[in-house]
Order: sequence, then C-alpha cells, then structure tokens
Amino acid sequence: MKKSLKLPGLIAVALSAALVSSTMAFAATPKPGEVGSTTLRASHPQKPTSWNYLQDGTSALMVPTYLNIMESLFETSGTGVLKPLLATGVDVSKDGLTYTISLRKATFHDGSKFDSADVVYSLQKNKTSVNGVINGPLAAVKSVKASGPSKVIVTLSRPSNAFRGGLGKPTTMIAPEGYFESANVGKKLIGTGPFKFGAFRADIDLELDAYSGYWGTAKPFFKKVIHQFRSDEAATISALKTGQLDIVGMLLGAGVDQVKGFKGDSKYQTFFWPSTSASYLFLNPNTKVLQDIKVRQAIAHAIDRKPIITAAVGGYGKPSCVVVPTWTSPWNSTYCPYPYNVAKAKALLKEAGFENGLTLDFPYLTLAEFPVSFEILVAQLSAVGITVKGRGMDIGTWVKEVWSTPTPVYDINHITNNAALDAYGCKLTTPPYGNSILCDPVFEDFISKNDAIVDPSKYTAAMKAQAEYIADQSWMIELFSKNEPGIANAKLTGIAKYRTDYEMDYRNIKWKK
Amino acid sequence: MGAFVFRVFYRSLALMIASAFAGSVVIFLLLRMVGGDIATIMLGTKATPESLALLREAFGLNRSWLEQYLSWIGGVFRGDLGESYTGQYVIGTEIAQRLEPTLILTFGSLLISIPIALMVGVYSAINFKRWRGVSVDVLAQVGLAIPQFFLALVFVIVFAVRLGWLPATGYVSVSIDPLVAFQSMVLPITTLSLGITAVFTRFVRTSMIEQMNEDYMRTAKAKGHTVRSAAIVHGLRNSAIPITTTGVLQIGALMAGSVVVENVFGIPGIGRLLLTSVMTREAITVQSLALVILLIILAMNLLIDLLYGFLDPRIRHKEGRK
Amino acid sequence: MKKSIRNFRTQPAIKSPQLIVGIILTGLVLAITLVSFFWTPWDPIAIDVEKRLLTPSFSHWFGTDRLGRDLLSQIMVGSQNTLYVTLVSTLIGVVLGTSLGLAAAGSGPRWGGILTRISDIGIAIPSILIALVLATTLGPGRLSVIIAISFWFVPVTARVVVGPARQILSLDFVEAAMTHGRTRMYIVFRQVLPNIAPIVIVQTSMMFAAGILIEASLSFLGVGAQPPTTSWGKILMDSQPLVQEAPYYTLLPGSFVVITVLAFNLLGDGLAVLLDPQQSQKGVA
Repeated sequence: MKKSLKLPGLIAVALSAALVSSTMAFAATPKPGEVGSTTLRASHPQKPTSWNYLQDGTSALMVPTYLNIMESLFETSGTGVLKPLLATGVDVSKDGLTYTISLRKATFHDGSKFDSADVVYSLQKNKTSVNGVINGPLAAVKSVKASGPSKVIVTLSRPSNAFRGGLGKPTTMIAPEGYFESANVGKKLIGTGPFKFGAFRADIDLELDAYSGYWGTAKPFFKKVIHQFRSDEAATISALKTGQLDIVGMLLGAGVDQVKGFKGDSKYQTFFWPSTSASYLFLNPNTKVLQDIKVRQAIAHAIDRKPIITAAVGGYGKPSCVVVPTWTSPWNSTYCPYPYNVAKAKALLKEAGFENGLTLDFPYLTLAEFPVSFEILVAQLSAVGITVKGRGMDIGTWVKEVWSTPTPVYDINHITNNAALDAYGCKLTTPPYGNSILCDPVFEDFISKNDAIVDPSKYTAAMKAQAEYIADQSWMIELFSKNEPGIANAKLTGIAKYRTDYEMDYRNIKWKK
Repeated sequence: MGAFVFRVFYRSLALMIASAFAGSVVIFLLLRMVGGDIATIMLGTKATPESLALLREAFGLNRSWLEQYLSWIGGVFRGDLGESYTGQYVIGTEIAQRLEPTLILTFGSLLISIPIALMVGVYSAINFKRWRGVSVDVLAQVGLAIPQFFLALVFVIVFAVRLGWLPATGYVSVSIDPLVAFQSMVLPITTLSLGITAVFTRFVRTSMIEQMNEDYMRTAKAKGHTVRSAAIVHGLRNSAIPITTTGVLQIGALMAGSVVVENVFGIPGIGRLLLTSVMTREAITVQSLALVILLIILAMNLLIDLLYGFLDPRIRHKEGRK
Repeated sequence: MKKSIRNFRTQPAIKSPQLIVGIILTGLVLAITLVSFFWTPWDPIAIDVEKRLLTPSFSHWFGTDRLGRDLLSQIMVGSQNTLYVTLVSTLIGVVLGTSLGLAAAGSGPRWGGILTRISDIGIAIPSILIALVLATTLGPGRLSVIIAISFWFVPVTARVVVGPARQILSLDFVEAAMTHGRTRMYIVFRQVLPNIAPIVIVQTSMMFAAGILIEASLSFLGVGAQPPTTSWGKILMDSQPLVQEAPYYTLLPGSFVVITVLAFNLLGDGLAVLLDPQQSQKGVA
C-alpha cells in the first residue's frame, strides 16, 4: 500500500507546487485596475457605425482613434497653440496663401514609410469627407504638392483662418497612400499613432495595442487600451465602482446626475471638460410652415433653456443663444434676440396665421440626453400651441434619415454638435447635408469672407456678426454650451485637462507613483 | 429501455425539425409581408433609388421569395448568414461569439430551476395543509408575477449598488477569466430562473397533491413507507411530467427573458444583439437571429421531451415488460 | 389518462382566499384605471424640472420622476395603456383561440392532430420574439405588441380548449343532439361553449396576467407604446439609469406591476377552484 502511494504522492506535491507558483506568478503581475497594470479599460457612450471617416461624420469614430491611432500634422494645445505632431513646423507666407510644411520621419502601422505623398493623398481624400471638422477647413485649399519626401506645399485660393486651425485638427489626419482603395477601408484604420487598431467587436469594444515602431520618444505607458462602447451610463458607472473600468470617458445623458456623488470620494477623480459642442435645435428649411420667420421666432421664444439643462445634462451646461465653439471663444456673447417669452411666442404664431396651432414632426435620438430634452421640448412647444409628433430613432437611422441626406425627413430636431458654424457652409459638400442644406446666401457670404480676414480683431468682429446673424434667422436655435463630465480612478494621472468632443487622448495616461 | 428512448428521440427530433422549418417560414414571411419593402426599412424612407438598388443587389432582395428563402436556409446549413448591413461584422461569426453567454444564461437557469422546483414543490405539497406549505406556495405566486426586468433592477439595486457584492453589468468570456464570468452570471441567472422556478414549483405542487391521493401512494403508506419517502420514490417521477408539458411554454419564456436580462445586465449575448438589430432596423440580421433563437428553444424542448420519456414510469414499465 | 374526478379543494370555494384577494386586487386596479380617466392627483404631463426626483412625500405619494411629474399620476395613466393592449390581445386570443380549438376538437383525428401540432409550434414561439421581429418592419408601437401577444394567445387558448371540447363532444347528450338533427351551431353554442366556459374564463384571467407582463417588458425594451403614450414599461425604462439615485422610481412602479399581475393570477386561480375543480389540478400556464 505504501509503495503505491509514493508515486501519486510525488505527483500531488509537484502539482501543488506548480499550482502555488503559478498562482503567485499570476498574482504578482498587476491585473487590470491595479496600479502598474499595463491594460487600461476606458469607456465612451457612443459607438461608431463605421470606421470610414470619409463617409461617416460621427464623433464616435474619431474618439478612440484620433491622436491614438491616426495623427494629424499638428495637434492643438489647450490654449489653442499648434504643436508639432507629424509635421515638425510650418512656414506661412505673408499673404497667407502658401503653407510650407516640414514633415518628420515616421512609420505607418503596416510598415510603410510616412512621406509627403501620404500627405498629398490624405488631404485630397479628407476634402471629400462628410465630417465638417475634416472637410470644412480645407475649403480654401487650391493645391497640395509634395516638395521632396519631407516637405509639402499647400496653396490656398484665399487666406483661411479655418485652414490654419485645421492643421491641428482631424482635418489633416494622415492615412497611407492608397488606404481608401484598399481592403482595410471601413474595417481597420492604419495610422502613425502610438497605438495600433486592434481587435474590434462591433457594439462592444475596440482594443488599442501599443505600437512599438512609434516615432515619438514618449511612448505610452499602457500596452493595451480597451475602449468600450457603453451607452448605458448608469451601468458604466456601476462598472467603474466595481473595478471593471478605469476611466469613464464621457457622460452625455443619464449618467451625468451621478457625477456629483463622486466628487468627495478619494478613490476617484472627476473632470468637467469644457466642450466644443453646442446643443441646438434645428429646423428643416424645406418645411413650408417654417419658412415664415415669425414661426421660427415663435419657436425660439417658446424655449426655456434652464429646465432642459437641469434635467437633460445635470446642470452641466451654460445657456446661450449664439452658436460658438468654446466658452472662451473671443466672439462669444450674451446676444439673445428671442428670449423665453410664452406670450410673445403665441402672439407671433397668431400673426403668422397659426392661432389654432400647428404640428411639427420630431424624430428624436433615443440616446444620451435627447429623450429627456425631447419630453421637455414637447411640453414647452405645446404650451404655445405647437403640437409635436415625436418618433424615437437610434443614431444610425437618425444619421441616415435626418442628417446625412440632402432631403431629410423632419421638421424640428435637436443635436449636440460641433459649434464651428463654418462647417455648415453649403458649398463645402455636394450634396449638402445636415445644416448645410440651408444654403443661406448671407451666411455663405460670411463664410467665404470671414475666413480670409487676416487682422485678428476684424476677424473676431466678423465671426461675432456671423453668429448673431444665425441667431436672428432662427433656423438653428442654440440652447446651451456643454460641459462634459468624466470620472476616473484617482490613481491615474496624465488625463488631458482639455479636449474636444472628437478625441479621447490615451497617450499620456499612466499610474501615479 | 434504450430502444425506446431512441424512438422517442427520433420522433421528437423529427417534430423539432418540422417546427424549425415552419418557424423559419413564419419569420421569413413576417419580415416581408408586414411593413413594406425590406430595403426601405433598412435604409429609411428618404434613401435614394440608387442606394436602395445597391442594397437589394447586395442582399439578393430582387430574387423571388422562394429563392431568397432557399438561399437563406442553405446559408444556415453552411454557417454563412451574410454580413450586417453596415458591413461591420459577419452575422454568423457574431452569433457564434455571442452564443456562449446566452447559452450559459439560459441553460444555467433551466438546470437550476428544475431541481429547486422539484424540491420546493414537493415540500409545499407535503405540507399543503400547514402554514409552511401555504407560505411557500404564496411565495411562488408572487414570484410568478414579477416581471424579469423589474427583478433584475431590484437585484442591481440591492447587490450591486447597495452591497457592492456583484457586478451590475458586463461579461467576460469563461475562457478569459472564469471567476469574473461566474460572478457576472450570478445575478442574471438568478433573475432568469426565479420566474421559471416559480412556475415549475406550482405545477409540481399540484401534481404531487394529486399523486398523494392516488391509490398506489396509499398502498405505499400502508406498506410502512413514510409519506416523505413515498413522495420521493413514486410521486417525484409523476410530478416531473407536468414540468415537461409546461416546459414547452417556459423555454420560450426563458429565451424571451434572456433578451430582457441581457439588456439590463449588459451581457453581450444573442438577446442583446437581437434588440440592437431591431432598433437599427437590420432586418437581415433579425431574420437569422430569430431563427437561431427559435432553434435554441426547440433544442431545449427536445431535451425536455427526452427527460419526459425517461421519467414517465408508465412508459418505463411498458419497456420493462419487453 | 383519466384522472379521478374528485377534486382536491382544501376548503369550500367561497372561502377560497385566492378568489377573494384576486377579486379585491383586480377590482382595485380596474378602479384606479377608471378613475385615471377623470382624475389624477397631479397633472400627469406637468413637467416641473425644479422638482425632479423627489422622494415620496405627503404631496407626491410616489415621488416625482426625472422631469418632475408626479409618479403616481403617471402610473395611473399608464394603466390605461396596459389594460387597453392586454384587453384587445386577450379578446382576440380568446375568440380566435376558442374557435380554433373547437374546430380542432370537432374535426376528426387527422385535422385535429394537425391543428394541435400547429398550435404547439405557435406556443413555442415567445411573444417577445414575434414583437421584436414585427418592430423591425412595422416599427415599435402598440400595434406590434397587440399582434405579437395575440399571436401567442390564440394557440395557447386553442390548446386548452381542444381537450375538454373533444371530451364534451363525445358525451351522450351531444350525440343525442346530433342524431336529433340539431345544427352544428346549436351544438356549439348551447352545449359545448357553456361547458367549456369555465375553462375559458380561467384561461382568460391567466392570459391577461401574462399579457400585462409581456406588454410591460416590451415597453421596457422600447418596443411597446411610444411616447407621448405613458406606459409602465417606459416609466421603468426611464428609471433604470437613476436606480442608484432614486430607487423608489424603480421600486414603486415595479411593485405596482407585480401586484396587478398577481391580482389577475389570483383571480384566475380562485375562479379555477370555484368553476372547475378538475381543471384546476391541471393548471394553466
């Protein structure tokens, strides 16, 4: 009996030793969520419907990829200064028409070398994008020529402030030459950034894998970033609390209310990024009843912004009547042509001949803050006699039916979007879409003239006039300027203090010492 | 016994296959006969004729219904269910990936509910005159009336938010991290199984109460077996039969419940994919998904049918005499 | 499989607690619904954002929702939708299902068997699945829900009716009626229906409860009644993200749903004991 126990006994000891040592080894490597772990788990409420940024203009596509995977020629600092990225510098001619851009050496994720041919290709392609942030600033570009492998010369048809700013935006995202004709288009992004496009599970997450061939000396700390698409914000916050997430990258709607609960908690840090987004109502220029300005003014007078801000975005917004890019924009103002006034709204409707009310079609988005704002807007409009027929829509359908089409189906709608009005010029895209379908000649005039103004104070005055004109016309009724809150593990550092709504910068995040 | 079980199996299998085909036809027709042309549904009413035509080409919607149906079913057998409209994923692969959490959820709930229902139902039946039996029955009654999504939310409030014991959402594959997978499945499986267990329990109870009055039970008692052992020995098998008859309805409820439970608990399973596809009007994905769900339901029914054949003592006795 | 006809009630039917509680609760729910057409504590659509998410108090018995509307008033109005959808679906289900079941019972073994098999398949397909498929094409809304629920109710009722109907048709007095030349309609309406009525009534009550659950689930998923129609499911859907901040927002409407479903289930149970003791043993889904 004893003999036959010896061998099994030895095996048992060996197995337990192996088990113990592997457990210890397993325990020694920090697991995600623990300080030192090389995997970062972050979330964002929106998921992309496509990875082709020429055809898809949603920010959800840009957020995990801009700066992480795809790099532009420059990036914009929090104070608005251009910092070199794929470009090392730029020389602008005195007349503002010629930009000579010097490029650095870098390698794409597919191994090909980055050079001027890729810049020429990418800028030509970006001009065709439906995303206003990408194509808008390229409107004045006449030609892009390579001058040797590390220099590009861009010639404009007129000076353009937008182009100058666009150097540091997704406008100048560089893809390898021939990318949009390759099999990867729409499925996988190839860029020069510190992270590669990794495993993608539609609806669930995108993995970013650190790229060992990155040109920068400062390589990111994290080897893997799991960027999760989590539209259920309450569930996301629970996941943060139970240690399944390290960063909640943005809260748009339902989760915003819970942020104040984290403020005193030392385990977490909260952010309130001033956003470049404006939240506004927009009316369909093709709807007959809305072509009478009195009706549009009445709609503007019917809106009380405060309850919408309180209920839909937890109070993290600043009411405004003008569409301007940031809270610190030099041409921001308190100009408000049609403040909240129910009596005035009713009187205007009566004057326009709609004493007995009218009906508007409102296909509203069923995500983020929009269902809540929808309900409040319905009540406010009905108080002045306007009946709203609402139908809920997911973002994919909404983009197809309301936004990315020259013949949209809606009367009134609400969106939070890029506040740079210039992106809505109707000559910029063919066919026009979104708010570009307005094609207001006065507005188009502003766009073509303002951008070319070289003197800064004259430029500011002109931009102010442009914003006030839009407010007067009341086709786009600004509601508020948003703060976007986020929450993260307190032990993380390097999270950007300033960001636009089309980026989530993972490059500098690491654990505190 | 073996030969008989096979006969039951083949008959049930034949029925399952027939039901699967019938169901597939229902799904196929529902999507085409109601609400208009599929291309318009997917692309929206303002789509240009060119894009509509492109979509129809891509999904073969110009062919006759019979051709489309055969091509779809043929694809199912080959494992090729096409690509989603946005081209972001291959439907077949996506479904395969999502099967794991859904199957764990539904089979897990089923497997848990049956033994619990048997135990609780028998207990409640034996004590049907006393308070403890009655109160158990009342609990089952209440359990029947709770909608699954409400129960899920209550569990989230209590266990995830207040106590922080279990994660509120999310799922990690068993192959990646079994412990987290298990943790994330506890609340969902409990939620899903509670309703089913309540239904089964009541059926077991009523059946047991009947059995207890049958002659053979009296004989067993007279022979000196306690009520309890008599119940376990003889009553149990007969009580399991109503589980099979009601099981047909409950399996469907299980799959339907998984849509809701996966939604609340954020589990990336088939039910969740169905919901998102419906919301985004991805008619082609919905078509295949509905069929997959139907097949899972029928497969589980088959299992229960087998259980029935196994458990029904009269059938076994017949076999024994052979 | 002839079971003993002897019933197994533990107490006389009149004293059946399920029946009493069932009647009281269903009466309460129906009363609240009827009252809601004329009066609610507050205006259910009055938005007052400053008063959002207030916990239950003397002025707002159930508190307020995310837009400051009185939750109790919302629930009361929501019951209108629930009962409307369930009532219509149940009516369709019972009428069509009974007809189908009678047809199956009266039409000989082959056709009867086929109809039964078809019913079995119909029973296996859950309503929620049908509703989701319909929502893809028809769009979300009450119509999809009603069609989906009826789709399931019809075979369920048929299945329940078929056995007893067949039994009755084989009884002597029916045969006597047939030899005496009574028309089929006469047999159906004067002889079969009155005898299966108890079964159908019990079944109706149970299906009503099931219908309420299905409707609430579909509205919760966003596939049911669309705003501005208030529904219980939608209230609970809105409450989901606020589960931590305002648990009453989930617990109170949810409990209301549970009590309503329980009410109809108990009513069905009580009626089963009262009307047809034999059937009550078999039970219904």
